[in-house]
Amino acid sequence: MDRSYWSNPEVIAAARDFVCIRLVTYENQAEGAFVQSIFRGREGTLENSVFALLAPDGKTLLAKAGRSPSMVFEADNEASDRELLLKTMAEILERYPVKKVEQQPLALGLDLRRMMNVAACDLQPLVVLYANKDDDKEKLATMVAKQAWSKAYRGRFAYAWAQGALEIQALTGLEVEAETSMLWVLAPNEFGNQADLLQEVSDPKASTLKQAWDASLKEFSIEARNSRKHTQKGRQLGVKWVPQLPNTDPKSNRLR
Amino acid sequence: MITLSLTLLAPLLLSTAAPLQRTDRLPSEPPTLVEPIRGERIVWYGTLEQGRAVAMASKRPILLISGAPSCREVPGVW
Repeated sequence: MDRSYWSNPEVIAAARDFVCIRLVTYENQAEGAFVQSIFRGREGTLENSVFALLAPDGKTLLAKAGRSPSMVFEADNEASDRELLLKTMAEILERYPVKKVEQQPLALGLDLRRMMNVAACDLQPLVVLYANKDDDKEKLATMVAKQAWSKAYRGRFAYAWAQGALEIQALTGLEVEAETSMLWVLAPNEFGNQADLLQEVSDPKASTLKQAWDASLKEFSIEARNSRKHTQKGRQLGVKWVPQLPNTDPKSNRLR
Repeated sequence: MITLSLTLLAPLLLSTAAPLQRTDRLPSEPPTLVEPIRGERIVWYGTLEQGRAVAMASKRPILLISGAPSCREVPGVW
């Protein structure tokens, strides 16, 4: 995935009026089939990276899909591709003007295990939520979503639900206790297979949530990652990610 | 003689072949240095189901990307 587009401030600003979906390739059969239906590379297989702009129906392509904006816009350099991306996004918004958006739900991933990895990839902290009753779950999700979408915290954490303390322990190595309603802020390690505990909030309220998130952002420090060295180190240590589906990307398979 | 004929025919054969397509500029390996982003980032819905539901309800268009969270089977990098 080409991160450079999605970390650009102009693209981040333009993306606010879109519903942004980032799928983890090779982790879900139905999602894989959909992605493959909108883009197939030369070998016809599901590729590692895909980029597309879609209508609100979630099916209709509004521009050519490809592996990345570079592949779709085909300008001479990345800056020009980015300009074309922004221009295309602006044109789409003219067709689909944004009305006042109600409170958006908490943006979640497939599950805790995968979100640990995603947070590690994004070099960001992971907020893990737990509630043992449906009512509490809904209440917690609403409260967290409100804060998550506020200007101060937008996009600064990844989020996942935990089934209970045992799941957290198994996936992070942390010994925690899951009470009625809990929230933890974790700092995943570089491979997303262990984590440090940044903050723990029992029975979270808006005020305690804010305190915990501010403290976490202050404490969380992560340095730039050299992906080549990271991959070498992972292979030396025997750290291996086994996807749900076979990786059929021709480029990835050539590198393996 | 056969070699010579093929050499002479080569430009003609090439010109009738499918035009070369521009290759994706993505490097065959990911960029080496992954910098953490300070401040606001894009908020990504991590499942198609949730993202589609939000898009349909709010009638907003979708920016969709997909990526594998591993490189050469090592997690922690897109």
